[in-house]
Amino acid sequence: MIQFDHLRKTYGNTEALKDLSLKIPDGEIFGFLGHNGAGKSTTLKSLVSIIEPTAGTIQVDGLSLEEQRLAIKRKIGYVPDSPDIFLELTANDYWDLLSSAYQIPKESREQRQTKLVNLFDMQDHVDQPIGEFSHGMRQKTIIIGALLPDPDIWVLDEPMTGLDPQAAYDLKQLMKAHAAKGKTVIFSTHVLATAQELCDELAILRHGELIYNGSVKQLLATVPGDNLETIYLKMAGRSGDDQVIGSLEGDDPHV
Amino acid sequence: MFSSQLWQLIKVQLLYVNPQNTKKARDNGKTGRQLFQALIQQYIIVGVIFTVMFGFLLLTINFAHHPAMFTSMVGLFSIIGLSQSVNTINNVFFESKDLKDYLPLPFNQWAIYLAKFSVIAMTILPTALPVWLLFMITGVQSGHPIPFGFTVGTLLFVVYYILLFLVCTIVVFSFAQTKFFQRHEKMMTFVLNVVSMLAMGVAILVINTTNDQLGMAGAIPGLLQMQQILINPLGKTSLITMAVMVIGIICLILVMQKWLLPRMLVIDASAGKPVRRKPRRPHHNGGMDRQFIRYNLGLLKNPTLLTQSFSMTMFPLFFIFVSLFLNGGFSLANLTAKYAGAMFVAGVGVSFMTINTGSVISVFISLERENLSFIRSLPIDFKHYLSLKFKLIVGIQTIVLIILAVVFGIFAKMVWLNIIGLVLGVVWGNILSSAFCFTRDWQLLDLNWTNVTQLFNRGSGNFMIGIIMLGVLVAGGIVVGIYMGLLSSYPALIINPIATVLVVVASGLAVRHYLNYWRNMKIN
Repeated sequence: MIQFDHLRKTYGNTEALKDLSLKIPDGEIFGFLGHNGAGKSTTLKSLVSIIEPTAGTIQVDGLSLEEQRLAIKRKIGYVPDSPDIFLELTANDYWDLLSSAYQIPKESREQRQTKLVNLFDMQDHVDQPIGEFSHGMRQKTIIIGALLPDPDIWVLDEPMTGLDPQAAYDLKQLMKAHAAKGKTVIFSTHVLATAQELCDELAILRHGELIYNGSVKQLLATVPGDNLETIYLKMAGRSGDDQVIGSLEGDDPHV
Repeated sequence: MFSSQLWQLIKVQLLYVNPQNTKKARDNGKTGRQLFQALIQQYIIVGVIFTVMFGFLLLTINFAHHPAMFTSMVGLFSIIGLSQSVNTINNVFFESKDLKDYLPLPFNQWAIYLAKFSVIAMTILPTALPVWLLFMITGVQSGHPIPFGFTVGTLLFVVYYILLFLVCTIVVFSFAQTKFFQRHEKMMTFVLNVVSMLAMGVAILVINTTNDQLGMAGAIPGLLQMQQILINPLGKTSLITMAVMVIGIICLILVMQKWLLPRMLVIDASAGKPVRRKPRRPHHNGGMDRQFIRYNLGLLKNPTLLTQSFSMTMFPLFFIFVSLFLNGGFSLANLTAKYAGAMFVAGVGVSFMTINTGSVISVFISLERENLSFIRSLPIDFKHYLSLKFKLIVGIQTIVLIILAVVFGIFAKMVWLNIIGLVLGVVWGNILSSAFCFTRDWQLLDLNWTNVTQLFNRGSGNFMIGIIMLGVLVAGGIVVGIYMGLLSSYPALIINPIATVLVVVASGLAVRHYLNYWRNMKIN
């Protein structure tokens, strides 16, 4: 179980996270929703030790992140929001690096790598520098890397961006399969249909505040709306959108 | 576990420090273990070349009897080592910007630092090898048995090398953690690189030009004690010196461990945070051209680009100028104004040498990456945009070249008409050479580069630069020599008009060629 307690993060005068408290049970697919700047990435980056929270604590399986950082990192596989990392390395070099970080035994690594490389159609690109890849290919490389250690917790920040439909479908299946093994999948997304399809539970953030935490089913049952999109927009969106769009239609940009 | 992580991290750092060699090796089909072996081989080859080159030079001098010579050599090689270290430390720790990528991974923090330091140490070791040789040779020359001389020399070298390394690291880390550096990071990185490069250049020049006088100069205090360690290792002074050096190392390590290293990851992780900036003056009604000029000037704020370009264009010229003036007595005061035409031709030659395929103009279109495609899609005259880029960069180069020409003219005590001739020559040569380089960049357009070095390596890369420089130096020297010879034998009133016609015809043909090329280019 992952537990965020009174988590706060400030950048100068800007409060990116305001007193976030939340529990994520094991074996679930958990989604973070929110507009740009709502605090989704800040929460995930705090969990994976990229950002140091201003206040509050994070516990993973009873271990404090502050005290057992290395042990917790070993449990987590992370897919960042930007796949533009280690561009000088080839895909294989990158996976070597991760295998060494996570101390993955050679045999199991080879088996998993082969399966994932075949799944994402990357057989012909493993010895090519990541810098020469398209955005989608870089994303696939990072996803494969995150899955190599078969982590207890798989954290993905906006993972669908740039993936082709087949890869996006495959990724969703992988996320489901990972959770089915009793492991936890946490991701942030702007694609509400994906969230509705995948999430057991979700958290909706607005301006750094948690405005909903619970199951998707419960949300759909209690808040009126056809689907997650309309419900989300009611909860986190701006009111009067129709008027704004209407007023834009009347504008002449050349005046 | 620690050692396997360390080895893996060292391999990654090796790739980062050697992007060009990595690319070459990969192009030759080397991957994985073979690639790392190839990179390590490069280090060994450079080390062997340095050892052989300086080994023979050092063997000709008895350092045990010439303390001044000994300290001068240690001093000079220390400057070279310092400049090389500063550059490498900055590249590995700050320019690479990869520290934050390791944050989510379960690596031991010290393994990351150790890997980075190991690769830095490997990179700068070749420049420090002459000091090792110097210490061993001095040890043997002092009359000790060879194994004993070698052992004492090696021990002293290890202590000296660690000390040098730590001093450089602390200087760079402290500097990089100042607010001033962080506020002007790109410019300061460029300044750091150029200053270290110039320091190394001047040190090499001093070695070459003052070799014979070194014995006469006084010994450098502080370094003299090192010679004492080699001559009398168990003497009181030697033991005290050694103890001071070891204590110095321990203190510097503590400073690194307690204050500087723990702040490194914090600093790097803060890279994405919003920074409070001074409110900028709004640029309303600036016009499209002014917006594009501002954008293009922003493209130049790339320390790697500026350093690479400086090292391939200005640095060789600076090297030649300094060596001319270091030898003393260089003057062109005796050339009368009738040689202004010859100075013009010399100026054209200087521009051809300086504005080459290593100049910023040779990569200025490709620098834009995907932005260029986007700009091409805008409803603007794309040829006008390219011509705006050309004029902007030619303008900047012209200012730099004019300053250089005037400074050279003043130092060389040239008459003012000759200085004007030289200035006009560098301006005209700049335009012609820029036309060639800009067109070449368009013909070899690459918008998918990851490291700016890739752009300089297009076509024939460094080989092309070498050929152009050498060709211009030889051909330009011959042309200027013949011109000046004719001027001293025949009336200037006959020679100068003929030369003018030749220059106008040759330049006119070149200009027409490039104008036609761009006019006929089918781009909108």
